[in-house]
Amino acid sequence: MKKQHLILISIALATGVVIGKYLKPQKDSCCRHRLGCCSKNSQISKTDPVYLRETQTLGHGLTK
Amino acid sequence: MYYNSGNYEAFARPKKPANATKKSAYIVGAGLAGLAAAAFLVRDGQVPGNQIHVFEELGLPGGSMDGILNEQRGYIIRGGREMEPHFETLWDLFRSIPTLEDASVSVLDEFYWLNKADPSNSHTRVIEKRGNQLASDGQLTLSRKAIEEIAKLVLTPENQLDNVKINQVFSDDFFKSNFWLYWSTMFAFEPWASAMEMRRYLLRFVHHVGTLQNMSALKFTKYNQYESLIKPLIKYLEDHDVKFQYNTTVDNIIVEQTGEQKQAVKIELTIDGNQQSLDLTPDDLVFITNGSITESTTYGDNEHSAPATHPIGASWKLWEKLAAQDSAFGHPAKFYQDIPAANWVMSATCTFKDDRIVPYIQKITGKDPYSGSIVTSGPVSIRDSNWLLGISISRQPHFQQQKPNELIVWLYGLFSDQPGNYIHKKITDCSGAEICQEFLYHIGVPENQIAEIAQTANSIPIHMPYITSYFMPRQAGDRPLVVPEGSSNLAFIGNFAETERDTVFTTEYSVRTAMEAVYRLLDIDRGIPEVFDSAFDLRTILSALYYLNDKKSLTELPLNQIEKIGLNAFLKKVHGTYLEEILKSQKLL
Repeated sequence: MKKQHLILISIALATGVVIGKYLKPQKDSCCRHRLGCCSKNSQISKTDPVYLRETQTLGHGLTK
Repeated sequence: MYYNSGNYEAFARPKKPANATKKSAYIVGAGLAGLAAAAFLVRDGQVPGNQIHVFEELGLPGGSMDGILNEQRGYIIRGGREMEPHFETLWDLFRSIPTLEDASVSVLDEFYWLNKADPSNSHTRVIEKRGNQLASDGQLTLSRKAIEEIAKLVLTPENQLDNVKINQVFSDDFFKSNFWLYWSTMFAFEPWASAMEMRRYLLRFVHHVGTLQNMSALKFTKYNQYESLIKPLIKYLEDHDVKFQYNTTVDNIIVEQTGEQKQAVKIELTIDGNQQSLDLTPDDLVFITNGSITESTTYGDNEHSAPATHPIGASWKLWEKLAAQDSAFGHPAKFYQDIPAANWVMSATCTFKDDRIVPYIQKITGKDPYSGSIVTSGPVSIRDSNWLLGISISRQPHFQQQKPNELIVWLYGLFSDQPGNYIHKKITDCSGAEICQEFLYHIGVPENQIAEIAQTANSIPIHMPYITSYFMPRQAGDRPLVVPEGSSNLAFIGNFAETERDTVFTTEYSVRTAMEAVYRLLDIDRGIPEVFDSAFDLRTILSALYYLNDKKSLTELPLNQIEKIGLNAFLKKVHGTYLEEILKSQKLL
C-alpha cells in the first residue's frame, strides 16, 4: 500500500469520527421526548408556572 | 408589481396608470387594510375618490384598530398596536395623511416627533411574586441548546414547516428561557402556534433581538390607534370623496372562471337588512378583507363577564363562500375551527380613579403614570400568573376625552382555561371587577384593599374568540395570495392574505397587502418597499448572536475543545480583515 493511501485512509477515518460524534443530527434534541437527556433544571415540572406547563400540551388544557 | 428598497423610489411618485379614471373599486371591510387600499387607490392609483366604495358591516370604520368611549360601558380598547420604524409600507402611507389638528403635519411627522421626545424603554419587563421584578429580567437566558433550536428553525425552509407547531420544534430548554417569555407575551404566541409564523417573526424582527428586554425599539401613537391613525385616514379619504357604506354585509362575491382567468362578476350584499346585488365589469376592482380577529367580540362590565360565544361572523362566511368557488382562495376553517382552549381570548380595559394603585405601578415601571410619558413601553408580564396576565399602560391620556384623574390600564390573559391565582375562576368567566382584582393582586396591592379598589374602578372584560387565529398552524395555500393567479379584478387584503416574508398581527401586514393589491390590479409602476431586509444584513445577524448569548463575545462562548480549536483557527484566518472589523463592531470580538 502506498504511503499516500495510508494518509488518505487516516484522514477519512478522522473525518468519520468527527461527523459521527459532533455533526450527526441529535436524536435526543428534545428533552420532552427523552427524559434524562437534559439537566433537571431545564426540564419543566408540575411546579413550574402554567405558561411553561402549557408548552407540553396540545393547547387543550393541562392534564390533572 | 415589484419590490424596492432605498430612497430612490421611496420618494418618487408613480405616473397615473392607464385607464385609472375608468376604474371603480369595491372594498370589503373598513379596517386598516381596506382604508389603506382606498388611500393607495387615491394617492398612487389616482382613481377618482367617488369611484371608490368601502363596505363595512359595522356602523363605524377601523376594524381591529380601536379605542372608543362607549356611553354605557366606558373606555374600551380591545388591544394595542406595537409599531416599529421598519413598517415600511405603513409609514409610506401615513407620510401622506395629515393630522386632524394641523394639515401641514403628517401622521408620520406627529408620530416621529412624539417618539423622539418620549422614547420607549421598559424599566421592568417581567414581574412575579406580587409585584417583584424577575431576578433574571433583562437577560434572555437561552442555553446553547435553545439557541441551536432557534438557528435550526430559521435555517429550515418555510415549505418544510407545513402545519408544524412551535412546541414541536423547541424543547423545554427553550421554553424555560426568558426569551420565550418575552417573545410569547410580546407577540401573543402560544406554544401550539404556527412554527412557520414563528420563523417569519424571527427573521423579520432579528434586528430587535437586542431590545427584547427593554422594548426600546417599539413606538406608539399619541392616543389610541382609532384616534391617532384611523380618524385622520378617514378624514383624508372623505376629503377625496371616497364613499363609505356602513351597516353593509357582503354576503358573497361571484367569481367567473374562464380557463385560467378569474373575474369577479357580482357582489351580493345586505344593506340595513335589505339584500341587493351589484353586477361588476372588468373595470370594477374588488378588494376583500377575508377573516377577522375581532369579529364576534362580546363585552361585559364591572359586574358581568363577557358572553363567551363564538359565532362565525360575516367576514368568515364570505371567505368560506369564496373558498367554495376556487381552492386558490384558501381554507378559512383552518383559522377559525379547533382553536385550542389554552388560548388568548380575553382582554380588559380598566379605568381607575383611585390613586392608591399609583405607587404599585411606579414601583414596577419606574414612572409616574400621570406624567404623560409612556408608562410600560409594551407589556409587563406576570410570570407566575395562571392566566399569564400582561399589563400595558400607554401614554395618558389614552383618549382625547379622558379626564386628568382617570388612568387607563389594558390587561390580557394568554391562557383562558385556568383558574386565576387570586380569583379562582377562568378569566373567561370573570366580571370586569374580578379581572381587575386579579391584576391588583399580582401588582402587590394589599389584599384588604383589592376588592374596594376594583369596585371603584370601571373594568370592561372583552371576549374575542378569534383574536389569535392569525397564528393557527397553517400550510402554503391556506391563505389566498393577495392577487390569486389569473385574477384580473379581485384581490385579498389583510392578515389572512398571503404575501412573502412579512409577519401577521401587525399593522404593517394590513397595509402591505393593501398596497400590493392596488399596485397589482392597477399595474402601478413604482416599487413597493420590501419587507425590511435586516435578515440579510450580516451585521444584524452577528449582533443577534451576541444578544442571544446574553452579550457574550465569541471567545466567551461555552465551546468544547474541538470547537475552540476551530474558533481559534477561524479568528487567525480573519485577523486583520474586513470580517474581523465587522465582528468587532458587533462586539463579538
